[in-house]
Amino acid sequence: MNIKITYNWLLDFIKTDADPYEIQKYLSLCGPAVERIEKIGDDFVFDIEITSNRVDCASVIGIAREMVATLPQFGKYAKFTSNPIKQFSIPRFTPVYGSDNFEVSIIEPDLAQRILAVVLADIEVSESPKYIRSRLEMCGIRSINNIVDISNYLMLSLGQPNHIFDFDKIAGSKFIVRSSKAGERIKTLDDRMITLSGGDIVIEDGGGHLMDLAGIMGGYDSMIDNNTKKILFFLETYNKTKIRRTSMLTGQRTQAATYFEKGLDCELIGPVVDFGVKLLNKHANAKISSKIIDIYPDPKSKKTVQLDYKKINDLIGVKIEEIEVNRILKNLSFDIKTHQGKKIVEIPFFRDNDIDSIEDLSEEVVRIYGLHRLPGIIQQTEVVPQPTKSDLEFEVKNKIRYFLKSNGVNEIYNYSMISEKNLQSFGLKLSDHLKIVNSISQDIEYLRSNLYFSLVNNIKENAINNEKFILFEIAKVYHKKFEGLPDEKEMFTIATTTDYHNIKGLIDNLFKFLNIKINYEISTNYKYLDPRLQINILIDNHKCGLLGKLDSKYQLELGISQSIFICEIELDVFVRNYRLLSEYVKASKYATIIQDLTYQSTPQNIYEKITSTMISQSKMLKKVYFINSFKDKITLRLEFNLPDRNLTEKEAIGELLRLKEMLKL
Amino acid sequence: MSQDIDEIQRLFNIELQQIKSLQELKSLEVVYLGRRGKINLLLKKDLSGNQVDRKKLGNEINELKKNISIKLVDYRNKLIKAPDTSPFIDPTLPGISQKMGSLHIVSYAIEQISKIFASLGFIRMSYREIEYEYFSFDSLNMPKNHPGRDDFETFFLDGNTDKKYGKMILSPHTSSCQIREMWRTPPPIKMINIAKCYRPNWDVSHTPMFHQFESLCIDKRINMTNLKGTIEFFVKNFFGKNRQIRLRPHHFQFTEPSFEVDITCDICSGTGFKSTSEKCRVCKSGWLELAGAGMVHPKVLQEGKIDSKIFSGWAFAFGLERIMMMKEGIKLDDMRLLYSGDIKFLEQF
Repeated sequence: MNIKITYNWLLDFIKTDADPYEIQKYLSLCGPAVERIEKIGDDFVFDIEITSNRVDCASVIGIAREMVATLPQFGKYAKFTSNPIKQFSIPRFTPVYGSDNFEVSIIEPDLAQRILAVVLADIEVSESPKYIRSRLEMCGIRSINNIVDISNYLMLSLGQPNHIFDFDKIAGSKFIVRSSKAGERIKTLDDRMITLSGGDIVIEDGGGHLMDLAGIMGGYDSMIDNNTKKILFFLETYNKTKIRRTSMLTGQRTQAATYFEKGLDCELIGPVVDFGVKLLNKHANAKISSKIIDIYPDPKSKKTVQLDYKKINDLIGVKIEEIEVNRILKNLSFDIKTHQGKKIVEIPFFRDNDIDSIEDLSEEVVRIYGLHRLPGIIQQTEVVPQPTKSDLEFEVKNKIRYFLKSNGVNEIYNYSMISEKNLQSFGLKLSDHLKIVNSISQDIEYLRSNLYFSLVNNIKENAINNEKFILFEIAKVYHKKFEGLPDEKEMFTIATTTDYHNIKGLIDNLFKFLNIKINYEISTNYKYLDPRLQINILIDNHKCGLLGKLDSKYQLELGISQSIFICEIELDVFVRNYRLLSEYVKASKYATIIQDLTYQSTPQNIYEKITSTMISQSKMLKKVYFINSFKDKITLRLEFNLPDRNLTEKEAIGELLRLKEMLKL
Repeated sequence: MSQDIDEIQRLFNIELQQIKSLQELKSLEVVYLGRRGKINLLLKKDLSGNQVDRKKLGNEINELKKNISIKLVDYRNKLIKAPDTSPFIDPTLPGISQKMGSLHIVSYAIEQISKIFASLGFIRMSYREIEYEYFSFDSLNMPKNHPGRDDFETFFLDGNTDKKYGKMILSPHTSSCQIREMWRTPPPIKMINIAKCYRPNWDVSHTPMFHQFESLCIDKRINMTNLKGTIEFFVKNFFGKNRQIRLRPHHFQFTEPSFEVDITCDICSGTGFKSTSEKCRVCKSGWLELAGAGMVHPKVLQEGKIDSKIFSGWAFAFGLERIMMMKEGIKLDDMRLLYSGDIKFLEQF
């Protein structure tokens, strides 16, 4: 969370010789980061990032505490002149004026750790004093009237959100803090009607009427207005998990909610109520008119951690003297006591959520000591062996990427998630796919079982004027398993609008580049591919990939005018078969005889079959090339030679005839 | 014989005058001086004569050879110096080339980061994207009620809940790999993991899928100065010598102490101002947040079955997209572009 406070506001509590920019620099190095400073009039507004464990810093007093610990490290003076946390406590006096009755009950004890309520009468609603008004406005809070402004001023001063109700608008003299039921409605101060999903902390007036969406925003019906005469000043520490849930579900991300959802210090309520009553009295003539209701069933005692100087130094890697450790901790409000010869650190209440161990204390010591003072020393360790496979995987992926880039292919990274509509448009079963329960958009509801869905979409979105593309993606696909975590397999997929032979040539070359020998066979198994144009890629006669034309049925359904060609290969195929170098083939010293062969192409006589059969069945035939095709006539060029003597042309022609005979060409 | 010599000399002189290019000159040289050239043929023919004549003739032939050689050299020089009258060819015209493709920014990042860490002896591992809650949260000291675990910060999957490890989720950070790596091998551990992560945020600066780069180092006597040294090494190598880093205290459940790493902004050179009056919009007063880091929490070491009394470690994680933007000063105002599949954007890299 970020908070805004001002420089002059800090000076209400602290005396320092550091200027605003020095404060920014030094605080940011040692604690809360002052992200920006804005000069307004004669004041400076700090915009400060507060980490989730340090809600105690999210106030003027919290930042002042950090300054006291930090600035002296940089030779700057910083000391409290007044500290309301120490100065104020719950007033122990009886009502001065009237005797209003009020009751509060908490139905489920885990909703709030502490609730404090008091009625104040004789209110004079007006504009708040200038210093409050202008400070709030500089910090981004709109001024409303003296009552509401004081409530906000208290929150920023001391870090405790609180709410002030118009007492006369509460029907019964009673508040019941309970969980909401599903479907209950409340109109909040911003005039929004909110329907609750159940389990939210709400406050009702005893008559079923909701007065407050607790910890988030007050009810519209008990709002302070110009006629308000009596108020109920209400302070609480709520169950942080419930506050966050309600705030996220209702979309009411109020400042109060961002405080409560971090978990607040119950002990803070006392000083805040005292300081608040004094401000209300001073600026709105308020007088206490009821007893003070304080429900606090389980008061905390202070936590302790044993102080181990050696452990602190070991973790930091620099020797910090005991005396300096002690000074740093004391400046941060930690008490150091000696118990049975051991040093014990007593944790202040406002750090109760955050500090549990010696590691936590080390962080406190090192941040104030100064992270900028630590040297950077690269660790010397033994050699850590890399599992061979992951090393190879990285190398092969890189080779594939650069090969494709040089061949005009564009790499895409798509989301791993796709829409229901997308799955259906490819005729796929939703139940085969992993579904995100809490997706934020219909576009990303299911996990991909294949990459081609996404690439086909990419083509659709990019090829508006029938541009030609070759796209590829390397990413994981996910397959449900009956038990345990799903399969995650890395896939390599190419899709293009160029043409079939273009993508096939590219794949042929990619395998050559990686020194992997492949074959092809005709396939008819893939439903999403054209049954007449799909092949399997084989390595040692094992299927390891596919190549084909997207069935025009899907192409038309998706409204794409160009044919799309797809190739899919599991990445592991490349990794397992990749070789750095190809096998060395000794060149023959003897003459090579070249012969051409033209044959008619039929489903029985496919190039793959003819060439592989010829090569395997002939000792003289060394190479076969594809020359050209005309309609269904294919012309090949054959190279014959022998390793030990010159071959005659007659012998080569004889061998060619034998092969033609054998293949019935 | 002498007649033959004179005839060869005469023919050579005529033929030489007709030569127009170096290539033709080379052919002429072969015709006269080659292994089977006219001079060599003459020498073979000459074998029959008496010794005195043979010596005289030999001298004459050598004289001829010398003369031809000199003329060839002279003529070559003349040709080289002669002005070229062929039509102008623009040598700056583009060559014949294949259209160039492109790789995704993230691929380049992965490559470079891996290289830098390999030089420090870190191994590269990859782990699951779909995980159980235990690996992403419980084992990392994130209690059940931690906000990072709720519906608004983590994607949950429909599927069986494991009795021991909880629900199936899309890993919201790469830190889920820490326990898996600790279970794989005892210390020393020095590894990086670059992987996709998922969170339910989708706006100009967030995408529901993004990449993180995690590094983990566990051994005896590992301390904060080591963390600082390693990050400094990485930053200097990745961003260049002129960029500064600072560590700032921060909070993460799985490290203690925890820090955030900031780097000086390259847009405003770390001043925080674009000009004397205009503030830099990219950074926060000259600094950009780069990564979360810290010393591995003893509870995390325990979950990883590592004795925290003997071993200690550090870990950090960077947002990959973010550091690439900072590195090259790519002024990308919408992170969603990276995953939009828009060729016009992607083909530039």
